[in-house]
Amino acid sequence: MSSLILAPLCLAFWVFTLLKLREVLREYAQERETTALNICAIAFFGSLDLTFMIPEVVAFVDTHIFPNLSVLVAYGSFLVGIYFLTVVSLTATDAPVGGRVIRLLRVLLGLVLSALLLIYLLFISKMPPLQFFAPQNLPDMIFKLIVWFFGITLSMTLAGTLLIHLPAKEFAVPRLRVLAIIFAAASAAANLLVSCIITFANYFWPSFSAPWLFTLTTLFVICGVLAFLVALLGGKIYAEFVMFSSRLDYWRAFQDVQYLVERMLRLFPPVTPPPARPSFWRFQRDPEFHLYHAMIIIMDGSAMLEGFLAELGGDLPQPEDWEIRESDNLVGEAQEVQRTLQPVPLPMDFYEVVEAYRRVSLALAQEAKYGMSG
Amino acid sequence: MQAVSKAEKILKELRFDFASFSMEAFLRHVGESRGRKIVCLPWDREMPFDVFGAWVVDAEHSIVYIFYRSSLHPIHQTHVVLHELAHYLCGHPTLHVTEELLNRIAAQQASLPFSDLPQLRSNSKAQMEAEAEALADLIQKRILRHDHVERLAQDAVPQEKLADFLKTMSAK
Repeated sequence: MSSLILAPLCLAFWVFTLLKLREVLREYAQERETTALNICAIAFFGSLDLTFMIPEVVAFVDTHIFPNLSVLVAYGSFLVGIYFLTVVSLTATDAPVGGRVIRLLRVLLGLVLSALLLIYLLFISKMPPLQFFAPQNLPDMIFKLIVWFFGITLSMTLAGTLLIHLPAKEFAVPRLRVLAIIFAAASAAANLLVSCIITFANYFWPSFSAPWLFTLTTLFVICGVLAFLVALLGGKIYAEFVMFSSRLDYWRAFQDVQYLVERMLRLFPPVTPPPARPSFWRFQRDPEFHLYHAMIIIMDGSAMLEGFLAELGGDLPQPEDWEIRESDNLVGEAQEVQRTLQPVPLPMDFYEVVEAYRRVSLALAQEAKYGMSG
Repeated sequence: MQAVSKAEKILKELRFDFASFSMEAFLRHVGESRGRKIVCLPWDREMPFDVFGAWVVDAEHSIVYIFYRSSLHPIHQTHVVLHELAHYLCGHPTLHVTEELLNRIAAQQASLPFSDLPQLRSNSKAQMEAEAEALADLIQKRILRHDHVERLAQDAVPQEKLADFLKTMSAK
């Protein structure tokens, strides 16, 4: 991958690592907080992995230190980094078999790193520069396949653990953050899987050529790293994003309840004229307030409907008995609105109330027996 | 527009921190700032169909009573209480009732004197309603703004360890 893409990503990771390290040293030094230390380790190994993927760094290290050392460091760092992330996730989610899985992964990591070091010392360090997807011999292929398979195992464990414990919808910010980590892990797993296929194919069919597979791995790496960086963003940035998307949802809900609001205002004109319907941009300033105001108009109307019809006395007529009414037949209109409102139980949560009235409004608009003024 | 600027002035003078809003704390704050205790009481008996709440002043003690229709949805009840409280904050006139009448109302021997409350839909009533509604709206606007930002910025989930992990992971 080009150093033009890798270098900025690497820089971003190092900046985050140093900031996190400073934070841990300041805030958690006395508590010896395991989660914070593990996250520091994730950031450190992630940065190291990216550093040893930059072509210029690879060339320098492999020429001036040890041949192919960059490969060992990059692969090793990647596996250790993702191991720490998986361990933190398993611990944080209190997964029932988490303890056992962590112990198993620790043993596997030890074995994998030992195997990689052994293969490196015996074979890879004596070979000419490795080509990423084209194994030169059997030890080279085994070396890569060990990394790919263990990487896939860790990524899938991580993604699966977090997917099972994905926070509910009402916790929008943590849910988004967890989704970003899952996406990063899934991208890593997909990248490793494609890498496996290419490595196998290149070893058994040296003439194998599928440029789109190489593009795919690059795409997965970029997606994975970006998703991981997104997962590291501050809570306020997430809150802004969630607010923006929920504002659009609120606007749609506000539009949908307008029919019911206008029906209520027509049936029971308020003592003071209601504020004019806000434009999209004015709505965006206080979306929840405008929605709330609409709910209050509906609730006012709904409560008055009950009393109004009760004062008129008698049971509500059955729908089949209804005659075609003129648009100024307010009693008939009140009965129709009441009939649609009555079977709807109102939940306690504000947003569920909005949804309930939204459904009523859409149902009434669909019937649309009464034209709206203006 | 006049009603809105009056409402803004009243709210500014109240100096209430909406970041820590609860109805109880708000009523206590209003009561302390005005030297009267605010008491909210659900009303489960008959009320005119277009009345959801009412407020009266104790003629003998420093107490303001706010009645709200108990059959309303809690969100609606909150709005009604804020609306009636806004009438009080705006300095609108209302009935001053004796302790004896209040006791009889509590014992269900008398009803709230709805017919004696300021007449609905008169010109002055319309002005007062506009002021009270503007102030209640403004209060709700402040509550919702703080509530929304706080709820989202919390980045918290019920699982303590997961919340800790996500919080530690995020950049500050």
